[in-house]
Amino acid sequence: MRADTIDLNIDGHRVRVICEDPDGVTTLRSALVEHLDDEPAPVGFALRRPTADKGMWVLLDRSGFVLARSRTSNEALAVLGSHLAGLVKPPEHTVRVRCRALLAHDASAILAGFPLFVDPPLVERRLERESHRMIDRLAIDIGQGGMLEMSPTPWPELAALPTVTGHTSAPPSPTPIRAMCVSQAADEPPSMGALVAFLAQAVSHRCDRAERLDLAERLATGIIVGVSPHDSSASYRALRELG
Amino acid sequence: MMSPERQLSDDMFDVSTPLVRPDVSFRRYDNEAVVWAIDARAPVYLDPIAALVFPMLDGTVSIAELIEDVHYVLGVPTGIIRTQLRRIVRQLEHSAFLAPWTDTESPDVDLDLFTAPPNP
Repeated sequence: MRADTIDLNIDGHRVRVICEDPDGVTTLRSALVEHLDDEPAPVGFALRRPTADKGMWVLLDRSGFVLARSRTSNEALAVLGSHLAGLVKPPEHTVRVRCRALLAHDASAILAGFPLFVDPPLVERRLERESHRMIDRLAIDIGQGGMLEMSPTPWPELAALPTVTGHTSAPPSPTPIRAMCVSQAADEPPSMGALVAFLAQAVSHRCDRAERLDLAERLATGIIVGVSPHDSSASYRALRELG
Repeated sequence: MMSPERQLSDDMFDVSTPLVRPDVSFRRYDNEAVVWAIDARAPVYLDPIAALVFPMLDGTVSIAELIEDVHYVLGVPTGIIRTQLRRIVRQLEHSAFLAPWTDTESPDVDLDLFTAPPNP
């Protein structure tokens, strides 16, 4: 199967999308026309068509991690559109943090540190069973009040695509952060110092080091749930226990 | 650059006087700490022993004196403390948090000819 490439420049972020769906390429080129770039860009995302043994479209990031599996190409494009929107400049007075986040049924957010819900890949149906949906961004934006404040997908053609089970685009209004799940290799959850060092690395480099440490401290003093990365069910159990 | 610490005998390591760069910020969390230099990409987590000795790395205190101090405070055997200090100094050197090595007779070390390529 031939794969087409689309090179994009979104607010200075140059990224290539590899797409195995010709109709999807047409949709992306139309929706993102003002971001098309003639220069080859580093690979960012790849959309793979279903194989004979697996009947799902698969969206991968540049490292090969599965971002979403969907029944239709359009559903995968919806997830891709949200991820591409994460390359747009963050809203004013927010700080970007490299971190996954889930939206709970009560419209609060639960953060998930790497590698949770990344490796092993998330299972959309299990997320749905726990009444949570993955926010399709590789980074979150946190406002001065400590809530998620993320801009919506700015391309109407992509924003209007059908949503995918277990996934959601960025929440449209400020969203409180209820807890954070972090990988816990030992019996004890990570210490405050280890958490701060881990989280500070994920805070936007536009902030100075003191600001990055301050935000990491704020996040680390919230509700922290340690999750074993070796137990594929542990992340989902943690979501259930968080309610 | 290869770490001179790795090349030193115990005797040479013991007389060395590591000096933390003055621009490294230090934040303590209970008995642990996080340190970060102005031009470092990432902070470094310090476990309790590292957090204990880090403020003492002022270029005037030798490793031998540090070993005695930590042995006095924690009662840990000196051989274990030396091993821990080697690990800590190596970690701080790797993160470029130490001023140039202050030992007077650093042995010759080969250049590291091949550095890891950047990630694509």
